[in-house]
Amino acid sequence: MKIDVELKNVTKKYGEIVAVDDVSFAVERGQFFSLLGPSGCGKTTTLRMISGFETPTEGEIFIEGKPMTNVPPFKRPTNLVFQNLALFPHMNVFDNIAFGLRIKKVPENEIQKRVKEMLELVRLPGYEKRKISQLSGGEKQRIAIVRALVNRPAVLLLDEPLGPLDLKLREEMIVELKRIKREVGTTFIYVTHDQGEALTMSDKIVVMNKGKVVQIGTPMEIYEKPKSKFVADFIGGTNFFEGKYTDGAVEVDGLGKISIESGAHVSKKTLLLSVKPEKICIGKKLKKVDNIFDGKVTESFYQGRAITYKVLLENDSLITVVAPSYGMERVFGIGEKVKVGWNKEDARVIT
Amino acid sequence: MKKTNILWSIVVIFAIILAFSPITILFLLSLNDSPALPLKNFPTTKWYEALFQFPGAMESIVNSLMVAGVTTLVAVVLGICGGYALVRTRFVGKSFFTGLLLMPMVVPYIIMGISLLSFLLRLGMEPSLITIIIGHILLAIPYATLVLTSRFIGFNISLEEAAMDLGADRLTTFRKITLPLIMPGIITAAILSFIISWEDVAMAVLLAGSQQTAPVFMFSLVTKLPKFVPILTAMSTIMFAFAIVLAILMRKAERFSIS
Amino acid sequence: MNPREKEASQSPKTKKIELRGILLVVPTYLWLIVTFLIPVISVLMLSFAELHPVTKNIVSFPTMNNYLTLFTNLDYVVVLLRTLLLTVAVTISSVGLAYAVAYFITFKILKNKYTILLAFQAPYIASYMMVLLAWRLLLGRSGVINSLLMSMGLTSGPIELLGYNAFSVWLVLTATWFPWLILPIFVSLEKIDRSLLEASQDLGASPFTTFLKVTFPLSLPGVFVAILFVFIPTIGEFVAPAVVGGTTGLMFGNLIYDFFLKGFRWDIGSAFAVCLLCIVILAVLVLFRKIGFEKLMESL
Ligand SMILES: Nc1ncnc2c1ncn2[C@@H]1O[C@H](COP(=O)(O)OP(=O)(O)OP(=O)(O)O)[C@@H](O)[C@H]1O
Ligand SMILES: [Mg+2]
Repeated sequence: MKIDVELKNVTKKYGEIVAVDDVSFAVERGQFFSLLGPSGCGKTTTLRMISGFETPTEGEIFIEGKPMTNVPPFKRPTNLVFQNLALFPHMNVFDNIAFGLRIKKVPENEIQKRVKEMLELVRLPGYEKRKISQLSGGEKQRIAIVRALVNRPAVLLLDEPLGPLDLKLREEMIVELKRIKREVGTTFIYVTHDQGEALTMSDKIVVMNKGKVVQIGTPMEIYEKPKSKFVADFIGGTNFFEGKYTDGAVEVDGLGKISIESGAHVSKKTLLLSVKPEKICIGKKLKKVDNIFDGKVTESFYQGRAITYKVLLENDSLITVVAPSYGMERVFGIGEKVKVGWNKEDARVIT
Repeated sequence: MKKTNILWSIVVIFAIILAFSPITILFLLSLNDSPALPLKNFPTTKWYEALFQFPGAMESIVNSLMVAGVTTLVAVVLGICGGYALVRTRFVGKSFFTGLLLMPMVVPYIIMGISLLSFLLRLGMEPSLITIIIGHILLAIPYATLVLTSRFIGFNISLEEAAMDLGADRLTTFRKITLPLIMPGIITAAILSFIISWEDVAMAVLLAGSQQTAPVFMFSLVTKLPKFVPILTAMSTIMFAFAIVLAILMRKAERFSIS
Repeated sequence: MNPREKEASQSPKTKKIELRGILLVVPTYLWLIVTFLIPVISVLMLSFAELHPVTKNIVSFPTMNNYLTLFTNLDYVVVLLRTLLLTVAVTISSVGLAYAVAYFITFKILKNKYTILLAFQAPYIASYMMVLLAWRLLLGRSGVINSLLMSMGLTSGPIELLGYNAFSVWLVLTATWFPWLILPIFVSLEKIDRSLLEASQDLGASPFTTFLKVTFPLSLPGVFVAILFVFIPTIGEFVAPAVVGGTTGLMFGNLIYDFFLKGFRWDIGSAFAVCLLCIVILAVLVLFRKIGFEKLMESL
């Protein structure tokens, strides 16, 4: 596999603020690669270093194997879709898309052809003469993406491009982006703080927190096998249980034993368990479940596809349970006594 | 209620008369036989004819245009540099610079004028159109810089970064993105600078040598040769017409650059 | 100092930005220093010196003689007092009139406010000199107004008040300045939340009390800007008095003008200029203190 972008121990400091702290990762050719993390964790800074608008304080960045130190943004084989899009308001759609090609002195008929192709790619044919102010949010988004793509960059960088869109448009654009990615095959580096977006679209995800890389993996690995408390909680939320390990189970104060899969973690005395809300079942009676506890519903939110419950357990800890509305008999009321339970393989040990 | 309405009408009508009647009457008088009412022999072009004959009159209008033109050019260029520097860069003594920049706005012209005059004379410069231009640039710089500063504040830097990301170097980015987008500010600054110079009597009177701008010409005629004042009615009417044409043209340019 | 600024002194890239900033302001800086700061400071120095009337070389320094000349000569003191009086009168009348018009436009006119506002600036597309010229023709013992009144038989002789004198200077300056002052006052009146006025009336205040206790105090920033707008040019005025002031309407600016351009006594003229500057600075400081620099800049 060819590596398109590689960061080696990259650090960026603004005075005393360390925005990016010793970050290393490699992006393979053709990957849809996501940088995921909460606001202010250094995603934009990382992206701006790759595109050349910031210089790393330490470490080095390679694109297509070449070191990028001292290469200005306009000479890098990357193109960036800005967080605020940055479409040129004084040019129409055509001139915006043609901007990069004209700089490169591509012949005018070739420009015509490529812009047309691009507008077809994002299903906006005939939009050439539109002014930027006459576009809807979703249309602007697409124009911004093809304005970058038309230059056939080795790597396309996207900085939270779906941020300002409403939920429905966002879901549409996610599908659209995946399709575009499939059709052009370019390497994408995608920045987002939305785990849903990252999980749906990516081949690989880097989770960042406070400037540091906390985990790299496929969406499945990140979701199912979080390596830290932060990742477990940040990706989809979770329920934590802490207790002492004694043969095959974790003893939680006031709650009892939670049986877990026998694994390699047994050397530790206290263990932290993470149980995802949708892996927990809830009911008056539960069968064929490894761990069952009594609880009381304190809140319930009906959300159409699912119902989210807050359940108070006997050790006074509040857990979140997401139950599918499919096959459900009824919504449990507040104060109602219920049983909650999960299987051993769904309780993940966090190291 | 009725009584207050009448009071309001009187105040506003008085204000309108005070503001508009002088130049209206001036215009009428420029077409009249003598500078007095009621009108006699109206309309006549005799003052306009006299004006074209009068030595130095038309010349002074040309001088005014030249002075205002150069002032505008220099003030706008300095305004762009200053505005950019104030918004986009950091340098030591920025607040001192801002203070110095605003100061000419609160010092009376007479003080700036005589200071500059005595200083330039001491340097061995003779009063001329050039000294007037120097003074006018000083008057225009603060306004031009402030207008462009606010334009740069409203400017989204990622537009420039986007251009660079798409392969444009600094110069191309400035030409294709920055310049067109600050154009409305440039035009406003140009209008302001032009008007400041075109209108100014005080600074120009202090700094003028034998070559005069139109307002200086008018001033010296009024104070030294009062009997020729009627031809000035014709002159100021021409200048007024000229200023209106110019204002309309510039507004058009402003509209055009915004769309 | 925020972190972004702190960074400025550190990384080499931002050093470059700093250098670019300095290079860009150098021309403006130089211009302001050479044509403004140094000349004004040298006038300040000159005011404490005695110059040889012909060679302009410094004969003695420092000396207070120039200031003594000013304050011991009754003629000069009279002109100074007249200037102050005229400036205050012009400021009050033009700001007052502008306030009335601005108030009228803000609260009594519903449509086309901005067109009306713009119309008031229109006469001055021409030039200051043109307006002065018009007044020169209108006023005067045998000016348009007087001769019209006489020919209509309304008065037997010319009305002296409408000749070239201090009253005329006041009238002309008020008429020229008030249209400029409408805009800042209008802006601050327009900014006032209408519900405040309704609340005041709802609480039992009469329209007049409402104006006095709510509207006027809230419009003060605009009023101060207007005062600044008219006060500074008026106190240094010398063109209008020369055109319509006759001999009794001359102002302090005319004295300075004469010392520099006619009498060539730069030293005395400088002392006069410094006095004027001190008054301006004092006035500006008082205004700034009253309202705070920030607010004032905001409403500019
Ligand atoms: N130019 C700068 N100067 C100083 N600090 C900065 C600068 N740019 C970013 N930072 C700081 O660096 C940290 C990382 O910022 P960054 O913009 O990379 O976050 P982000 O992950 O993109 O956040 P968001 O999701 O909100 O866009 C933040 O704490 C920010 O305040
Ligand atoms: Mg960001």
